Amino acid sequence: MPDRFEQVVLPHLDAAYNLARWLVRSPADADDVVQEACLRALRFFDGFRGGDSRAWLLRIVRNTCYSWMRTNHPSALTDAFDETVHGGETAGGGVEAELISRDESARVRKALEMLPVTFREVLVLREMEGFSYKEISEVTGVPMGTVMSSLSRARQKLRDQLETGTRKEV
Amino acid sequence: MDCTLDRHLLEAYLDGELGFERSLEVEAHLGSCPRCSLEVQSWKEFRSALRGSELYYRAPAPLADNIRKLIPPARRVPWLERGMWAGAGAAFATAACIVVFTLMHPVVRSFGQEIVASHVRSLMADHLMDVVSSDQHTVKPWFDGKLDFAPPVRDFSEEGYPLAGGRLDYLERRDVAVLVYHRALHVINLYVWPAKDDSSTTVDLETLQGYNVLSWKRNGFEFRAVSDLNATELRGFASLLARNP
Repeated sequence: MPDRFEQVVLPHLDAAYNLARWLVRSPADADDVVQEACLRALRFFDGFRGGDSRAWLLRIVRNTCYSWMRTNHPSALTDAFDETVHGGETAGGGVEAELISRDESARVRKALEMLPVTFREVLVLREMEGFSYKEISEVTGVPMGTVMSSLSRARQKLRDQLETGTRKEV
Repeated sequence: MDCTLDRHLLEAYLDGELGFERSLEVEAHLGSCPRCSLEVQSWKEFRSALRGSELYYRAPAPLADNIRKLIPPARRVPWLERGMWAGAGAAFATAACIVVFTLMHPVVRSFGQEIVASHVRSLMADHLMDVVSSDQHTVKPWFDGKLDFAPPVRDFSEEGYPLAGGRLDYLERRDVAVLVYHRALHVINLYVWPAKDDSSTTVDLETLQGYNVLSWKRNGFEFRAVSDLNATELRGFASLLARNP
């Protein structure tokens, strides 16, 4: 069984970490959350009936992230626009920040980090992991129709965010 | 330019969530609507920005090791550690049998059964084909960009096994190509995916839930042909494929 657990879980470790990292937004916390999620996965493993192991694992990771946020950072779950991250990012200043601001992916990262958590999760699952609406619905427990509309709103928000960000930097 | 196309439809199109026919409708619309085609272009740029590798956080190397370390103690039977098992041997053995049976049960479902289930689903759920065409030059390019391999596609109309179309499916944790053939009123689903090596095997027959499943390996591909067609004619189909690589 441990062998089989390894075969099912470890191939999706990058996906698990990436999702956790985008949801909790700190490397150390993402590390903890993924380990905790794997412990839970191990506990639930007997209930895993085969099938899409990536969606199965990410669902556990996602739920672990949410419990972690509920305990450690409840405002992260409700904020429409996260000031803690927003404030932290602009505090850098100087030449270094100037260089980063010219970097496209750093700009996108910043914009994505500031989105509400429900938008971040659909964008990560759809755009980075290439999940279908059905798989996203499996991971998040949200109905497929809602996945579609929140994805649409998330994209619009991110684009708005990128546009205002650009205007500020020009 | 009065464009009435639903924005959600455009997004579903970009997400690959529309069926084949509706995708074609959207594509036809894009050809004549500069506003929508501009929007599609901008979505695509936006998407490539998000898919940049710099935004993807890979798991740090020690994490996998730490997770491996979690496994053995967590899977150990706690009674053994507590020394409470003395005298409870029989109970333990019974419990262990039940546990082993329960744990093994899902594993017992064979790959053949998984394929038969997929075959039955394809007939029930009205999702037999994503691309409907008897022309191999239409079906083959349709797989381009949807899979990381190019499945061999041949029409055998003259031999009595006309190609009807193709679709994608997901088996054994990988994307596979499915080619759909007809034989009189029977449907044959032919599953194709890359083999682990280039060796060839003979054609094996397995009968599951009344369906015949043929398995073989050839030219670096794994093949499974599933149908309610009788074994002799299904074998005839397999040997056509073998003769026409």
